[in-house]
Amino acid sequence: MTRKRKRMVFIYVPLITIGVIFLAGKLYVDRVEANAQLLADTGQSAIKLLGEYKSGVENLSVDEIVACYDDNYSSEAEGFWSEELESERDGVRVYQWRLDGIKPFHKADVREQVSRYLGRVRSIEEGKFKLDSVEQIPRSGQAVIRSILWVRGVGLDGVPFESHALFRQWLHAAEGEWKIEKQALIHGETVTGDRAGFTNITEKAGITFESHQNPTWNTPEWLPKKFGIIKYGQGGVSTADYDNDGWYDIFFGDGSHPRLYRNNGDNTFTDVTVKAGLPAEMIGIAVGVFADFNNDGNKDLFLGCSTGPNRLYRGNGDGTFTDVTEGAGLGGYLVTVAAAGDYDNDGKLDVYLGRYLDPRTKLPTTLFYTRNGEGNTLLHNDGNFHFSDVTAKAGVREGGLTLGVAWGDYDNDGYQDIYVANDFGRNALFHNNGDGTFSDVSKRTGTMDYGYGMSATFGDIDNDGNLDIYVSNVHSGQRWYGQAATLYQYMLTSTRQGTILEDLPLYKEIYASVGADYSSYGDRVVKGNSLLMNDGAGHFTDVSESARANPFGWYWGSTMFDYDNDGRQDIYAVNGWISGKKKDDL
Amino acid sequence: MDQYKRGLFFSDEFVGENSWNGYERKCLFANAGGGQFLDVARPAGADSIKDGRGVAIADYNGDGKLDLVINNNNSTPTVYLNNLRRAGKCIEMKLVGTRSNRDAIGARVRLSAGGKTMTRQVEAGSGYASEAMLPIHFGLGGSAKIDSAEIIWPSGLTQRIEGSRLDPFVDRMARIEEGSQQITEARAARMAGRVAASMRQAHRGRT
Repeated sequence: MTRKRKRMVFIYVPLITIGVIFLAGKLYVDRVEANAQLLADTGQSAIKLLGEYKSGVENLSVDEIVACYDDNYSSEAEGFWSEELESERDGVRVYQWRLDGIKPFHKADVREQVSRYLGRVRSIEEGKFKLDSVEQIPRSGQAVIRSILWVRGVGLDGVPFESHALFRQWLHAAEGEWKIEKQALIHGETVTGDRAGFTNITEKAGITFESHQNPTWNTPEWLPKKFGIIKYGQGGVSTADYDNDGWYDIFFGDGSHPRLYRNNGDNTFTDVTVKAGLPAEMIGIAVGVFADFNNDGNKDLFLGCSTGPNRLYRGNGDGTFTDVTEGAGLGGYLVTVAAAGDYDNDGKLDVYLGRYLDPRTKLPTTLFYTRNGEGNTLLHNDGNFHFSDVTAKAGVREGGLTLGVAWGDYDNDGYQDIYVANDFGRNALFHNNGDGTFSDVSKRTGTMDYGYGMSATFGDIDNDGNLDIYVSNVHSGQRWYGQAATLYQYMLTSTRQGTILEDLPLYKEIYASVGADYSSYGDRVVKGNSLLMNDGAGHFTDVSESARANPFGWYWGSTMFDYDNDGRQDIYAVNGWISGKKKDDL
Repeated sequence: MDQYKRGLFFSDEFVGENSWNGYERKCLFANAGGGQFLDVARPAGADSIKDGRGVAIADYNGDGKLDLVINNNNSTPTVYLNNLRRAGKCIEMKLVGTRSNRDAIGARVRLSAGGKTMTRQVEAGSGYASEAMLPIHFGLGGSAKIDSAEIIWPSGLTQRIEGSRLDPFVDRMARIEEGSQQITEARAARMAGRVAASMRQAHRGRT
């Protein structure tokens, strides 16, 4: 081989090959980015248009609303929104939206439609019109979207009301102005009532507690700037009859001053934290679990801590607690949630701890299929207030960033299983095998929820004898953005974060679990709360959308309870992420 | 948005003085049956706007209707007392394990009444960092008669109870010990406490 030829083979050819691969890769990345950009731009335009509509509603201005519609608006068959009474009980009326006078609709008919609706309204307190999803972008400047209208105000009859309606809308841009050219109501409902069902008695009850941020998050050691939002997670709340007087008391977890309030039995409460033998100040108490760990008939108190060691207090039976933390073996830091259950049915209560991520050393990788959390912990109760970490043996080290854990025997085999809701990371169902081990059955059972899990609860929603699961998630009203976030985009993000090599196996796992749908992975991540119905044969189906238990919002705690004693489990879900000085959302 | 895309939204500066899904209204999804729920938080008056975190359930005033407490971030908590005028009847059960753990956590009760069989479990901790009262609660609708109940204890024992033995505890809290046929009023201590309180009050009135 001549020297020239050698140089050709060993230097130029590889260089050219690398160059071509690089260019092809760059073109591909550019295309992924361009598609995402188109979706993002379309989403922004739709949000702007819906925002104008919303202002029109808040101003009770038919003109402003009608201005959102195209002059050539045309729908083959549409009607006027009418409200049909569906049920009435305890001062609460439920109306379903029906379409009246169905006919081909034009812009003038829309004016009539909107006028009739607003004609029943005395005042508007607040309106929201959120983009639920971008269903299609036939071409640039055109889009089919789903949107959610949410209006609260007072009707002409003086009764407070709230309306929720889901639409499909066809939008197009003419000279840069986006307008609605066609619209279809998917469903809508209005609820009215006298607001007398529940009374907020907090102040009257003498509860003066105010939650505090954990000051440790703001110290240089915990790198507050890097993962600053971690400090808004506080805090849990527990209810138990700690002093066996038959009245249920309240414990508030807190960043610095957790509080125990004793129920006086007359709708008032007294702060007994110090009197009960608990410290006046405790840093980073995320969660308190009252349970009788030594079976003596008194409630003991386990405290899960974020930035320090966990604690255990023995209940003395006289309304006081004694610190038995020393040598109890209570697991590591970064605890967010905890629940007691007896996984081996030995008559002694064990504890499962949900944990987050140590912001001193890392950030969540892959952004949404995170596995680099601290790892959850199962503590086996050995008796005498001593616990052993059996996580590895039991196989329940879930590495997502956990914000919800719940025990429940979903398959009625007599052993309590565990469901884990992960904020960053997919959720997991662990089947208790009855021999001290668990199996991750998330994929097989259809419970591998991908949302930003914020809490989880077991309960029998349909009275069929099987425990269903409600998971609170984020349905942020920016779902369109989630759609833009394809698996490829996540990979690009990982590349930018410099974690692509360690994340690659996870992407393989995501691909394996969502199969051909992987491109819309982001959409699953922000689709909102999940109501997973248990069919009794080992499979769950998410019905949250058809059940209408999934409005937009950033949900945290959720629970099942029968608030009206009708024999059906209802759901209460609390929401709200950061209410800043400026009311407008990011 | 670029920060969001690049995963920089963990940082405090990203939020600034803005709100981020702030000022949201809590939801009370009433189970309408047939797989349908309706958010009735506003008409029922349970639609606080604070940034909620944990939420726990208990019957704080012993009237058989479940109340709520919410721990809110950066604010005072919310305690909602349930005042529904026409709520159905109910029975609450405090289970006491003997062979099982004393709190009976993990026990399941199937209760038949008014043509329904309801299943509830005893649990200590769920939702987001929250714990409801341990006793379980069954709404009975208009029916004041219970057909039967079956308790599946964590020890493996299945205990059947005739409805007629539970009927006296409708709208009250029954205390049931594992394997025992005796059912008692769980709020005996509370009753005694109430008497003591009223005596104290009477005493204060005299002085």
